Amino acid sequence: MNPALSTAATGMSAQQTRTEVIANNLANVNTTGFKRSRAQFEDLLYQTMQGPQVLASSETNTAPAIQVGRGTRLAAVSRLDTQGALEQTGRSLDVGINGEGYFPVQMPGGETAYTRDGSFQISDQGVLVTSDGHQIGAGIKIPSDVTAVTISATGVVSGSKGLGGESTELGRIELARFANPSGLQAIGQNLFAATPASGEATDGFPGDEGMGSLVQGNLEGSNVEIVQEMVDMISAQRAYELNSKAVKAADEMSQTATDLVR
Amino acid sequence: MPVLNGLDSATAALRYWERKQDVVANNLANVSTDGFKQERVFATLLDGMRPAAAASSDMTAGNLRQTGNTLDVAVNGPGFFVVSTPNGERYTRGGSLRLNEKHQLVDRDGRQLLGVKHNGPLTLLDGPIDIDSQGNVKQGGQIVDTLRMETAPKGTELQHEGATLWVPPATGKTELSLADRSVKQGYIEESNVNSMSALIDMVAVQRSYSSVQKAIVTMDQANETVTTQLAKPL
Repeated sequence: MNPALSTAATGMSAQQTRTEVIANNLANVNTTGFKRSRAQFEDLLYQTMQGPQVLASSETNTAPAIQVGRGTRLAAVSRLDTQGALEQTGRSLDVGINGEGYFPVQMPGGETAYTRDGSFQISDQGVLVTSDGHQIGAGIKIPSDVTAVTISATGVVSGSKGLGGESTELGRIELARFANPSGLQAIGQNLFAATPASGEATDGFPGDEGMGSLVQGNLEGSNVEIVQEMVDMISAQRAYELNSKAVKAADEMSQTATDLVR
Repeated sequence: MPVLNGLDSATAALRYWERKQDVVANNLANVSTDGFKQERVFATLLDGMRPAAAASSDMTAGNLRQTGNTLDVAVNGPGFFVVSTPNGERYTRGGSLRLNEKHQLVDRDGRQLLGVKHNGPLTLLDGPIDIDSQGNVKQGGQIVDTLRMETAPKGTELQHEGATLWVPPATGKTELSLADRSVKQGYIEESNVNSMSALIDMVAVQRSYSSVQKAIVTMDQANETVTTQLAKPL
């Protein structure tokens, strides 16, 4: 059959996938610490239609082999780990990371996950946890009589009791960073797991080189830019349309060929 | 010289336009494939009368898109990175790289990139990775290894292999000197397909195909006249 038909069909399905990824980005435009993704494609195998040939009698006049590609396929959906804007919330347990680090989170199974979402809570045991109740790092205990919690740029958590009370250090928030953060695997709930692609976590504290610093009373917004996504969506839609035109053109050419027989 | 008639030429022309349609459809399908280079089809004359399709890759640079990802790497200018595949060394223009479980730098399908130091895979340490414009991979301020980069002689037609890989030429490939390199970390090279001109190509293909078809029909009608009218007994 006409190969142009199936080639154009792979193009249409690629643009479909691209639109799905854009839709997920747009759906997470207000998700704390969300990082936008992008679908990446690669070309399929090439078919050699004719080998290199010698034209006429002169041996120096050769035509190169003609290879025809057979379309495209989804290669990866990769995350773009750029900093999201820090948005002021004024809540003392909201912490944004200005830099590349991740908060290590203790999962119920004992393994460690990582997050950029710093909307912390105090659990019923008085421990600092994420909004889903997972413990941050080794666990920072906040006594119930502490009325004001301050978190410094270097992660030191201190609490004071009552008005004008003495401030005491309660613990220090740790951060982790990765050689290749976009290799982290998203596991939902704003959490990520380390993979061979991301490399092992390098542990440290806020303020250490490359970790970034903490900003209390702020949360990192999503790094999705609506205008960029809209432009991408339009270009995906147009490319989809173009490929559908290629299907139509290939079909009409087959029709023309069929019309040769009167 | 074989005896040729109009029908042979026209049939060859139909085949030529079909090839061209296949290539245009592939260009369009890869309009958002990073690192893709579009192909152009042109006609060459066989025996002076029949057109045959010939193709060449348009190696002009695609637009560089900033991603900010540490391991997104693009080449701004000439040259290719070298990756190792089961079929031998292949050329690539970069893309989203990652680390494998042995801490080697690999492309998104897991093919190892080759470095100058051991003329083999680049093995990295933990910690941040910096790649400078000469393709030196640095960690903690120290050069761990340098990416191998090569070029093919001007005018060489590189063979595609899919997955935005090319087969290095059998002869004449040269190591790209450090001074001629321009590697961009945090960027990805987009497809160089211009969708508008691809669309126009497609319309032109379709119309030309249709006119050649008309020519065949006309020649057939002439033959019909010859056989039915002239052969009529008086």
